[in-house]
Amino acid sequence: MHMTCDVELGADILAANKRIAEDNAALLKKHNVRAYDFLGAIGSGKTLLIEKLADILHARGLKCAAIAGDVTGDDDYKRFKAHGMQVVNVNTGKECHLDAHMVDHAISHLDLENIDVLFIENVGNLICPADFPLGSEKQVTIVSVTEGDDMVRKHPILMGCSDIIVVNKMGLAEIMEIDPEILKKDAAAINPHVPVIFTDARKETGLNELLEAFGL
Amino acid sequence: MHEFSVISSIVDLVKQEMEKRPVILVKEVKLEVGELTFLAHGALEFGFTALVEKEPKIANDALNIIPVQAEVKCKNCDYEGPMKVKDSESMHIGVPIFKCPKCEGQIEVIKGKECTVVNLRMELED
Ligand SMILES: Nc1nc2c(ncn2[C@@H]2O[C@H](COP(=O)(O)OP(=O)(O)OP(=O)(O)O)[C@@H](O)[C@H]2O)c(=O)[nH]1
Ligand SMILES: [Mg+2]
Ligand SMILES: [Zn+2]
Ligand SMILES: [Zn+2]
Ligand SMILES: [Zn+2]
Repeated sequence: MHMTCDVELGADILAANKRIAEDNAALLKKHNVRAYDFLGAIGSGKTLLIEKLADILHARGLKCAAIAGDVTGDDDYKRFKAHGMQVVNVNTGKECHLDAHMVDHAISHLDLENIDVLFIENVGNLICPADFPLGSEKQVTIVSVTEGDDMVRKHPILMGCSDIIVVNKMGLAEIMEIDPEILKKDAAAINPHVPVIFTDARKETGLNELLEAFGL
Repeated sequence: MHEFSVISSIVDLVKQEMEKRPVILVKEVKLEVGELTFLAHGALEFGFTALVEKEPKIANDALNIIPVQAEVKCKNCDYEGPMKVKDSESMHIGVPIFKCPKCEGQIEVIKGKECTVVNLRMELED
Protein backbone atom coordinates (compact mmCIF):
# COMPACT_ATOMS: atom_id res chain seq x y z
CA MET A 1 0.00 0.00 0.00
CA HIS A 2 1.15 3.45 -0.83
CA MET A 3 0.52 6.47 1.26
CA THR A 4 -2.14 8.94 0.18
CA CYS A 5 -1.63 12.53 1.17
CA ASP A 6 -3.69 15.69 0.91
CA VAL A 7 -2.05 19.00 0.25
CA GLU A 8 -4.19 21.97 1.06
CA LEU A 9 -3.36 24.83 -1.27
CA GLY A 10 -6.08 27.46 -1.31
CA ALA A 11 -4.48 29.07 -4.37
CA ASP A 12 -6.82 31.40 -6.27
CA ILE A 13 -5.73 31.36 -9.91
CA LEU A 14 -7.46 34.69 -10.55
CA ALA A 15 -5.98 36.38 -7.47
CA ALA A 16 -2.68 37.38 -9.09
CA ASN A 17 -4.62 39.45 -11.63
CA LYS A 18 -6.71 41.05 -8.88
CA ARG A 19 -3.56 42.06 -6.99
CA ILE A 20 -2.00 43.70 -10.06
CA ALA A 21 -5.32 45.46 -10.75
CA GLU A 22 -5.19 46.93 -7.24
CA ASP A 23 -1.63 48.13 -7.86
CA ASN A 24 -2.72 49.72 -11.14
CA ALA A 25 -5.58 51.48 -9.37
CA ALA A 26 -3.25 52.79 -6.67
CA LEU A 27 -0.72 54.06 -9.24
CA LEU A 28 -3.42 55.82 -11.27
CA LYS A 29 -4.87 57.37 -8.14
CA LYS A 30 -1.48 58.64 -7.06
CA HIS A 31 -1.24 60.54 -10.34
CA ASN A 32 -4.85 61.73 -10.20
CA VAL A 33 -5.78 59.79 -13.32
CA ARG A 34 -9.43 58.73 -13.60
CA ALA A 35 -9.64 55.44 -15.52
CA TYR A 36 -12.60 53.76 -17.22
CA ASP A 37 -12.59 50.45 -18.99
CA PHE A 38 -14.91 49.79 -21.89
CA LEU A 39 -16.03 46.33 -22.75
CA GLY A 40 -18.61 45.14 -25.17
CA ALA A 41 -19.26 43.10 -28.26
CA ILE A 42 -17.28 43.62 -31.46
CA GLY A 43 -18.44 46.75 -33.26
CA SER A 44 -20.74 47.99 -30.48
CA GLY A 45 -19.08 51.40 -30.70
CA LYS A 46 -16.41 51.37 -27.98
CA THR A 47 -13.80 53.22 -30.03
CA LEU A 48 -16.17 55.83 -31.46
CA LEU A 49 -17.63 56.58 -28.01
CA ILE A 50 -14.16 57.07 -26.55
CA GLU A 51 -13.17 59.32 -29.47
CA LYS A 52 -16.24 61.49 -28.95
CA LEU A 53 -15.91 61.62 -25.16
CA ALA A 54 -12.25 62.60 -25.51
CA ASP A 55 -13.21 65.49 -27.82
CA ILE A 56 -15.64 66.82 -25.21
CA LEU A 57 -13.13 66.43 -22.38
CA HIS A 58 -10.34 68.05 -24.42
CA ALA A 59 -12.63 71.04 -25.03
CA ARG A 60 -13.00 71.28 -21.25
CA GLY A 61 -9.23 71.40 -20.93
CA LEU A 62 -8.77 67.84 -19.63
CA LYS A 63 -6.10 65.58 -21.12
CA CYS A 64 -7.22 62.12 -22.25
CA ALA A 65 -5.26 58.98 -23.01
CA ALA A 66 -6.22 55.54 -24.21
CA ILE A 67 -5.07 51.96 -24.04
CA ALA A 68 -6.28 50.17 -27.16
CA GLY A 69 -6.73 46.47 -26.58
CA ASP A 70 -7.19 44.35 -29.65
CA VAL A 71 -6.34 40.85 -30.75
CA THR A 72 -4.22 42.20 -33.63
CA GLY A 73 -3.71 45.41 -35.59
CA ASP A 74 -3.54 49.09 -34.73
CA ASP A 75 -6.75 50.49 -36.23
CA ASP A 76 -8.18 51.74 -32.96
CA TYR A 77 -4.75 53.04 -31.93
CA LYS A 78 -4.62 55.26 -35.02
CA ARG A 79 -8.15 56.53 -34.43
CA PHE A 80 -7.31 57.58 -30.85
CA LYS A 81 -4.01 59.11 -31.96
CA ALA A 82 -5.88 61.32 -34.44
CA HIS A 83 -7.66 62.94 -31.48
CA GLY A 84 -4.42 64.05 -29.89
CA MET A 85 -4.43 61.43 -27.15
CA GLN A 86 -1.48 59.59 -25.70
CA VAL A 87 -2.15 56.01 -26.79
CA VAL A 88 -0.65 52.60 -26.14
CA ASN A 89 -1.60 49.72 -28.41
CA VAL A 90 -1.87 46.32 -26.74
CA ASN A 91 -2.21 43.30 -28.98
CA THR A 92 -3.37 40.36 -26.95
CA GLY A 93 -2.61 37.77 -29.64
CA LYS A 94 -4.42 34.59 -28.73
CA GLU A 95 -5.95 35.97 -25.55
CA CYS A 96 -9.53 37.08 -25.70
CA HIS A 97 -9.20 39.78 -23.04
CA LEU A 98 -6.86 42.34 -21.54
CA ASP A 99 -5.52 41.49 -18.13
CA ALA A 100 -4.12 43.66 -15.36
CA HIS A 101 -0.54 42.74 -16.21
CA MET A 102 -0.90 43.96 -19.80
CA VAL A 103 -2.45 47.18 -18.52
CA ASP A 104 0.40 47.56 -16.03
CA HIS A 105 2.88 47.40 -18.92
CA ALA A 106 0.80 49.80 -21.01
CA ILE A 107 0.59 52.32 -18.17
CA SER A 108 4.38 52.29 -17.86
CA HIS A 109 4.52 53.75 -21.39
CA LEU A 110 2.26 56.67 -20.49
CA ASP A 111 3.23 60.01 -19.03
CA LEU A 112 0.71 59.91 -16.19
CA GLU A 113 1.49 63.44 -15.03
CA ASN A 114 -0.01 64.68 -18.28
CA ILE A 115 -3.20 62.63 -18.18
CA ASP A 116 -6.48 63.40 -16.45
CA VAL A 117 -8.66 60.67 -17.93
CA LEU A 118 -7.59 57.24 -19.18
CA PHE A 119 -9.87 55.13 -21.35
CA ILE A 120 -9.10 51.45 -21.63
CA GLU A 121 -10.75 49.70 -24.58
CA ASN A 122 -10.93 45.99 -23.95
CA VAL A 123 -10.96 43.36 -26.68
CA GLY A 124 -14.38 43.12 -28.35
CA ASN A 125 -15.88 40.28 -26.36
CA LEU A 126 -18.88 40.37 -24.09
CA ILE A 127 -18.00 37.44 -21.91
CA CYS A 128 -14.67 36.92 -20.36
CA PRO A 129 -13.08 40.32 -19.68
CA ALA A 130 -15.17 40.40 -16.51
CA ASP A 131 -12.93 37.76 -14.89
CA PHE A 132 -9.98 40.13 -15.20
CA PRO A 133 -10.39 43.48 -13.47
CA LEU A 134 -7.81 45.98 -14.73
CA GLY A 135 -7.70 48.59 -12.00
CA SER A 136 -10.06 51.13 -13.52
CA GLU A 137 -12.48 53.24 -11.53
CA LYS A 138 -15.51 52.03 -13.43
CA GLN A 139 -16.26 49.14 -15.72
CA VAL A 140 -18.45 50.33 -18.56
CA THR A 141 -20.31 47.76 -20.64
CA ILE A 142 -21.41 48.81 -24.13
CA VAL A 143 -24.25 47.15 -25.98
CA SER A 144 -25.79 48.55 -29.13
CA VAL A 145 -29.35 48.37 -30.37
CA THR A 146 -28.18 46.53 -33.49
CA GLU A 147 -27.36 43.50 -31.36
CA GLY A 148 -31.01 42.95 -30.47
CA ASP A 149 -33.15 43.68 -27.42
CA ASP A 150 -32.08 40.57 -25.49
CA MET A 151 -28.39 41.47 -25.05
CA VAL A 152 -28.81 42.49 -21.42
CA ARG A 153 -30.77 39.51 -20.18
CA LYS A 154 -28.52 37.13 -22.09
CA HIS A 155 -25.54 38.31 -20.04
CA PRO A 156 -26.95 38.76 -16.54
CA ILE A 157 -23.72 38.27 -14.59
CA LEU A 158 -21.67 40.63 -16.72
CA MET A 159 -24.39 43.26 -16.61
CA GLY A 160 -24.87 42.75 -12.88
CA CYS A 161 -21.16 43.30 -12.26
CA SER A 162 -20.89 46.40 -14.49
CA ASP A 163 -20.74 49.89 -13.03
CA ILE A 164 -22.42 51.51 -16.02
CA ILE A 165 -24.33 50.05 -18.98
CA VAL A 166 -24.39 52.02 -22.23
CA VAL A 167 -26.94 51.33 -24.95
CA ASN A 168 -25.32 52.78 -28.06
CA LYS A 169 -26.48 53.41 -31.66
CA MET A 170 -29.82 54.73 -30.38
CA GLY A 171 -30.37 56.46 -33.72
CA LEU A 172 -30.75 53.03 -35.27
CA ALA A 173 -33.33 51.71 -32.78
CA GLU A 174 -36.30 52.56 -34.98
CA ILE A 175 -34.73 51.02 -38.09
CA MET A 176 -33.92 47.89 -36.11
CA GLU A 177 -37.48 47.93 -34.76
CA ILE A 178 -36.32 47.40 -31.24
CA ASP A 179 -37.50 49.08 -28.07
CA PRO A 180 -34.44 50.17 -26.06
CA GLU A 181 -36.59 50.45 -22.94
CA ILE A 182 -36.58 46.64 -22.88
CA LEU A 183 -32.81 46.70 -22.38
CA LYS A 184 -33.23 49.21 -19.57
CA LYS A 185 -35.97 47.17 -17.91
CA ASP A 186 -33.91 43.97 -18.11
CA ALA A 187 -30.93 45.76 -16.57
CA ALA A 188 -33.09 47.11 -13.74
CA ALA A 189 -34.35 43.58 -13.01
CA ILE A 190 -30.80 42.24 -12.74
CA ASN A 191 -29.21 45.22 -11.00
CA PRO A 192 -31.40 48.22 -10.14
CA HIS A 193 -28.31 50.14 -8.99
CA VAL A 194 -26.47 50.23 -12.31
CA PRO A 195 -27.17 53.31 -14.44
CA VAL A 196 -28.22 52.62 -18.03
CA ILE A 197 -27.29 55.43 -20.44
CA PHE A 198 -28.68 55.74 -23.98
CA THR A 199 -26.16 57.14 -26.46
CA ASP A 200 -25.54 57.56 -30.13
CA ALA A 201 -21.88 58.13 -30.81
CA ARG A 202 -22.48 59.16 -34.43
CA LYS A 203 -25.23 61.65 -33.58
CA GLU A 204 -23.41 62.62 -30.38
CA THR A 205 -26.36 62.15 -28.08
CA GLY A 206 -26.23 61.06 -24.44
CA LEU A 207 -22.53 61.79 -24.15
CA ASN A 208 -22.76 64.42 -21.43
CA GLU A 209 -25.06 62.17 -19.45
CA LEU A 210 -22.48 59.41 -19.76
CA LEU A 211 -19.70 61.69 -18.54
CA GLU A 212 -21.90 62.64 -15.61
CA ALA A 213 -22.26 58.95 -14.74
CA PHE A 214 -18.46 58.77 -14.85
CA GLY A 215 -18.35 61.57 -12.32
CA LEU A 216 -16.64 63.87 -14.85
CA MET B 1 -12.88 31.44 -23.70
CA HIS B 2 -9.79 31.79 -21.55
CA GLU B 3 -10.32 28.49 -19.77
CA PHE B 4 -7.25 27.07 -21.43
CA SER B 5 -4.87 29.62 -19.94
CA VAL B 6 -6.54 29.26 -16.54
CA ILE B 7 -6.26 25.49 -16.62
CA SER B 8 -2.62 25.74 -17.79
CA SER B 9 -1.81 27.75 -14.66
CA ILE B 10 -3.54 25.10 -12.59
CA VAL B 11 -1.58 22.24 -14.18
CA ASP B 12 1.66 24.21 -13.68
CA LEU B 13 0.78 24.62 -10.02
CA VAL B 14 0.10 20.90 -9.67
CA LYS B 15 3.48 20.10 -11.28
CA GLN B 16 5.24 22.47 -8.87
CA GLU B 17 3.67 20.65 -5.94
CA MET B 18 4.62 17.27 -7.42
CA GLU B 19 8.28 18.25 -7.49
CA LYS B 20 8.25 18.73 -3.73
CA ARG B 21 7.51 15.08 -2.92
CA PRO B 22 7.89 11.54 -4.30
CA VAL B 23 4.58 11.38 -6.15
CA ILE B 24 3.29 8.21 -7.77
CA LEU B 25 -0.04 9.61 -8.86
CA VAL B 26 -2.10 12.75 -8.46
CA LYS B 27 -5.57 11.38 -7.85
CA GLU B 28 -7.57 14.51 -7.31
CA VAL B 29 -7.28 18.21 -8.00
CA LYS B 30 -10.09 19.87 -6.15
CA LEU B 31 -11.03 23.15 -7.77
CA GLU B 32 -13.61 25.60 -6.47
CA VAL B 33 -15.10 27.78 -9.20
CA GLY B 34 -17.23 30.76 -8.19
CA GLU B 35 -20.59 31.02 -9.92
CA LEU B 36 -19.90 34.65 -10.88
CA THR B 37 -16.84 33.76 -12.95
CA PHE B 38 -17.15 33.18 -16.67
CA LEU B 39 -15.28 29.89 -16.57
CA ALA B 40 -17.21 27.10 -18.25
CA HIS B 41 -16.72 23.87 -16.32
CA GLY B 42 -16.82 21.71 -19.43
CA ALA B 43 -14.08 23.75 -21.08
CA LEU B 44 -11.93 23.50 -17.93
CA GLU B 45 -12.35 19.73 -17.89
CA PHE B 46 -11.59 19.45 -21.58
CA GLY B 47 -8.45 21.55 -21.23
CA PHE B 48 -7.31 19.56 -18.21
CA THR B 49 -7.69 16.22 -19.96
CA ALA B 50 -5.80 17.53 -23.00
CA LEU B 51 -2.96 18.91 -20.88
CA VAL B 52 -2.43 15.87 -18.66
CA GLU B 53 -2.69 13.34 -21.46
CA LYS B 54 1.09 13.07 -21.57
CA GLU B 55 1.54 13.28 -17.80
CA PRO B 56 1.55 9.69 -16.52
CA LYS B 57 1.58 10.86 -12.92
CA ILE B 58 -1.63 12.89 -13.14
CA ALA B 59 -4.87 10.92 -13.44
CA ASN B 60 -6.93 11.94 -16.48
CA ASP B 61 -10.04 12.38 -14.40
CA ALA B 62 -8.32 14.05 -11.45
CA LEU B 63 -10.01 17.40 -11.87
CA ASN B 64 -12.94 17.74 -9.48
CA ILE B 65 -14.80 21.01 -9.96
CA ILE B 66 -16.94 22.25 -7.12
CA PRO B 67 -19.22 25.18 -7.88
CA VAL B 68 -19.20 27.88 -5.24
CA GLN B 69 -22.29 29.92 -4.52
CA ALA B 70 -21.88 33.69 -4.58
CA GLU B 71 -22.11 35.73 -1.40
CA VAL B 72 -22.75 39.41 -1.06
CA LYS B 73 -22.66 42.10 1.55
CA CYS B 74 -25.16 44.94 1.62
CA LYS B 75 -23.85 48.50 1.62
CA ASN B 76 -27.06 49.67 3.24
CA CYS B 77 -28.08 47.16 5.92
CA ASP B 78 -26.28 44.37 7.76
CA TYR B 79 -27.12 41.59 5.28
CA GLU B 80 -24.35 39.17 4.42
CA GLY B 81 -25.12 35.94 2.60
CA PRO B 82 -26.26 34.37 -0.66
CA MET B 83 -27.74 36.40 -3.51
CA LYS B 84 -31.34 36.32 -4.49
CA VAL B 85 -31.73 34.08 -7.51
CA LYS B 86 -34.52 34.43 -10.00
CA ASP B 87 -35.57 31.25 -11.72
CA SER B 88 -36.04 31.68 -15.38
CA GLU B 89 -37.98 29.23 -17.51
CA SER B 90 -36.13 30.21 -20.64
CA MET B 91 -32.70 29.80 -19.08
CA HIS B 92 -31.31 26.64 -17.58
CA ILE B 93 -29.72 28.40 -14.67
CA GLY B 94 -31.12 30.77 -12.10
CA VAL B 95 -30.22 34.40 -12.66
CA PRO B 96 -28.54 36.10 -9.71
CA ILE B 97 -30.06 39.44 -8.79
CA PHE B 98 -27.60 42.17 -7.83
CA LYS B 99 -29.46 43.79 -4.98
CA CYS B 100 -29.78 43.09 -1.28
CA PRO B 101 -32.31 40.29 -0.68
CA LYS B 102 -33.32 42.03 2.53
CA CYS B 103 -33.56 45.76 1.75
CA GLU B 104 -32.89 45.90 -2.04
CA GLY B 105 -29.84 48.10 -1.36
CA GLN B 106 -26.61 48.09 -3.33
CA ILE B 107 -24.39 45.10 -2.72
CA GLU B 108 -20.75 44.19 -2.85
CA VAL B 109 -19.76 40.71 -4.03
CA ILE B 110 -17.60 39.04 -1.38
CA LYS B 111 -17.55 35.51 -2.79
CA GLY B 112 -18.11 33.84 -6.15
CA LYS B 113 -15.40 35.40 -8.34
CA GLU B 114 -12.64 32.99 -7.40
CA CYS B 115 -11.10 29.96 -9.06
CA THR B 116 -9.26 28.24 -6.26
CA VAL B 117 -7.21 25.06 -6.17
CA VAL B 118 -8.21 23.98 -2.69
CA ASN B 119 -6.68 20.57 -2.36
CA LEU B 120 -4.48 17.99 -4.07
CA ARG B 121 -4.79 14.32 -3.25
CA MET B 122 -1.68 12.38 -4.14
CA GLU B 123 -0.38 8.89 -3.76
CA LEU B 124 3.20 8.99 -2.52
CA GLU B 125 6.05 6.51 -2.36
CA ASP B 126 6.50 5.14 1.14
N1 LIG C 1 -25.10 54.72 -36.45
C1 LIG C 1 -24.19 54.57 -35.50
N2 LIG C 1 -23.04 53.96 -35.81
C2 LIG C 1 -22.12 53.81 -34.81
C3 LIG C 1 -22.34 54.27 -33.50
N3 LIG C 1 -21.25 53.97 -32.75
C4 LIG C 1 -20.39 53.36 -33.58
N4 LIG C 1 -20.90 53.26 -34.82
C5 LIG C 1 -20.28 52.65 -36.01
O1 LIG C 1 -20.16 51.25 -35.77
C6 LIG C 1 -18.95 50.76 -36.31
C7 LIG C 1 -18.10 50.13 -35.20
O2 LIG C 1 -17.75 51.13 -34.27
P1 LIG C 1 -16.43 51.04 -33.41
O3 LIG C 1 -16.35 52.27 -32.57
O4 LIG C 1 -15.26 50.72 -34.26
O5 LIG C 1 -16.79 49.77 -32.51
P2 LIG C 1 -15.85 48.97 -31.48
O6 LIG C 1 -16.76 48.49 -30.41
O7 LIG C 1 -14.70 49.80 -31.09
O8 LIG C 1 -15.37 47.74 -32.38
P3 LIG C 1 -14.16 46.71 -32.09
O9 LIG C 1 -13.03 47.50 -31.51
O10 LIG C 1 -13.84 46.15 -33.44
O11 LIG C 1 -14.70 45.68 -31.16
C8 LIG C 1 -18.26 51.94 -36.95
O12 LIG C 1 -18.59 51.96 -38.31
C9 LIG C 1 -18.87 53.13 -36.24
O13 LIG C 1 -18.83 54.31 -36.99
C10 LIG C 1 -23.59 54.90 -33.22
O14 LIG C 1 -23.88 55.32 -32.09
N5 LIG C 1 -24.48 55.02 -34.26
MG1 LIG D 1 -12.65 49.40 -31.20
ZN1 LIG E 1 -10.63 35.82 -22.06
ZN1 LIG F 1 5.76 41.84 -17.34
ZN1 LIG G 1 -29.59 45.40 2.65
